[in-house]
Amino acid sequence: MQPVNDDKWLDEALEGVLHSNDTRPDFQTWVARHPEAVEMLTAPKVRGRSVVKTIRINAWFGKLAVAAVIAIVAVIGITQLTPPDTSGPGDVQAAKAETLTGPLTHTLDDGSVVTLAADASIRTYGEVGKRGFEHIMGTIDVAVVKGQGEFIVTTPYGDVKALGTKFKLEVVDGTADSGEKVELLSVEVTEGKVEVSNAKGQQYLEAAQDGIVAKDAAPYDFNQDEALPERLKERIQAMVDAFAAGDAAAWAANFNINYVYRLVKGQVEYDPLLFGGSQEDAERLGETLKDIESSEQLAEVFASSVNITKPIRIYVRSVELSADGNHARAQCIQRKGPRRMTITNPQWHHFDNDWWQIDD
Amino acid sequence: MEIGSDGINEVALVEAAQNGCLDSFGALYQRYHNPIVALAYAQLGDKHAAEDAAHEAFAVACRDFSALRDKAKFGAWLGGICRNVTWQMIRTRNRPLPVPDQPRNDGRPEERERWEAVRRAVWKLEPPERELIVMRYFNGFSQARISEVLDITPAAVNGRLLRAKRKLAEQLKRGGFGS
Repeated sequence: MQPVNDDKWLDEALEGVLHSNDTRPDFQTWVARHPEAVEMLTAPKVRGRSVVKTIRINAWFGKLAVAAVIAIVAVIGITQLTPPDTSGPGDVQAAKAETLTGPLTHTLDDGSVVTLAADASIRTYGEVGKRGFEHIMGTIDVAVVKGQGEFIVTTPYGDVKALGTKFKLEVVDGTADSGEKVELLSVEVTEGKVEVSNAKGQQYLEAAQDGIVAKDAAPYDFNQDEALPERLKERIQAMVDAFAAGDAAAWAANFNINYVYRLVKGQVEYDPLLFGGSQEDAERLGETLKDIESSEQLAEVFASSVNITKPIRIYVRSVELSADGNHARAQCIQRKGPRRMTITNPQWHHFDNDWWQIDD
Repeated sequence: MEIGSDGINEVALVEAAQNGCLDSFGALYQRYHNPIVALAYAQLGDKHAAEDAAHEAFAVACRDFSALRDKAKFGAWLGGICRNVTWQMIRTRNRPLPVPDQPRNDGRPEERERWEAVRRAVWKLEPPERELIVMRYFNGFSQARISEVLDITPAAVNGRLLRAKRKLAEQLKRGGFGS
């Protein structure tokens, strides 16, 4: 068998595996199969961005129509007016939906602005008067113009209704190291308030709050989980923030270093609820760190041992609290790349008068 | 004037197509069809599905041509659409990530064994590396054409290809195909 460091062999093998002779462009066949796309390409264009112009003209006619209705109603003396529903069928007119891919900044017809990262794509609704769009994938920032009615972003995992706001959405669609598919929507609110909902439930998020909508699960924000003690939430948030800042020392500060020092020195018994590893791990740690002379020195070693060298995004998918209320276990997604993730299960325990992270 | 690697003024073609010229769109189709099929194949591992994805990507491009801001980046823009289309296909069909076609079955048994090992190694690469390898060997596209679709410089294509091949060679060595 030839060695693989023979570049010619590898080239030939790759040719054999991947080469395709039977792929030929056949434009006429494509044209015949895609009459709608061809029609959209070849239809007469209004100068400039035809879609935007069409929408604005239609909206202007819509306003005229509404004004006329109001005038007639006033003349015949009806005193109670129902505000015109601009999203109703009478006002919804055909417009062109379009798919936009990042990186770009796009101003919607209502003046709201959506900024798409390089990995992102959205699709506009194509209905005049219907505010919002479909978020297909990637990371987007949205700044919604206030006071113009309902603005809804639909995503594969839930809908986000803006209530006059700035927010960031991220459709995460990847595979964890374990092979498990990771499919979720992350929502971060910068200003105002949003309602996140899907078939499983709904949640309101306000400025500086963020939440997760995993596929087939109710929206979740651990900071709003009433079952969790406030101090535990602070600890979980501190872990998330430390990863986001790429700050290993801040991460290590969530652990009870004094306890770990006593464990390393054999001053306390191993307890699986207080130390995340096995008894063998604890013994190995004691052997490795036998020359450590203080808990401060241990804290430095601990922080330098963790692999947090750059900002890492953490999504907290769920947190479970034990029946006695003293132990918590979370399911988190660590994002390593656009589609590469690791699923982790950090744990916390309440001892020495505080909540401490015991496992990463 | 933006003259492409093959001497075609692509920006002029894009402008004409945006103004509704079907022939110009046809020229872009001829130019990018195979690279886009290759890109889709790198995601889907199935040539028929890859051709479907490429056809859909061109249809989306037709519908959304007004969204293309930088006319000199048609290939990269189309590549982005293609990736979105393939991810939508994977998601909606709930199919696993790349399930590659079997390699050609016309060689000797030991050759088929090697090809199978190479095929597995290619699909173990990270997606960006897999895209490069598949595009390079699918139809022998030039570095310039690959760089247009992947939106990286030809020099970067060269460097990354070398690294990806090195990684493949290491994987194959570990799998018993080394010296």
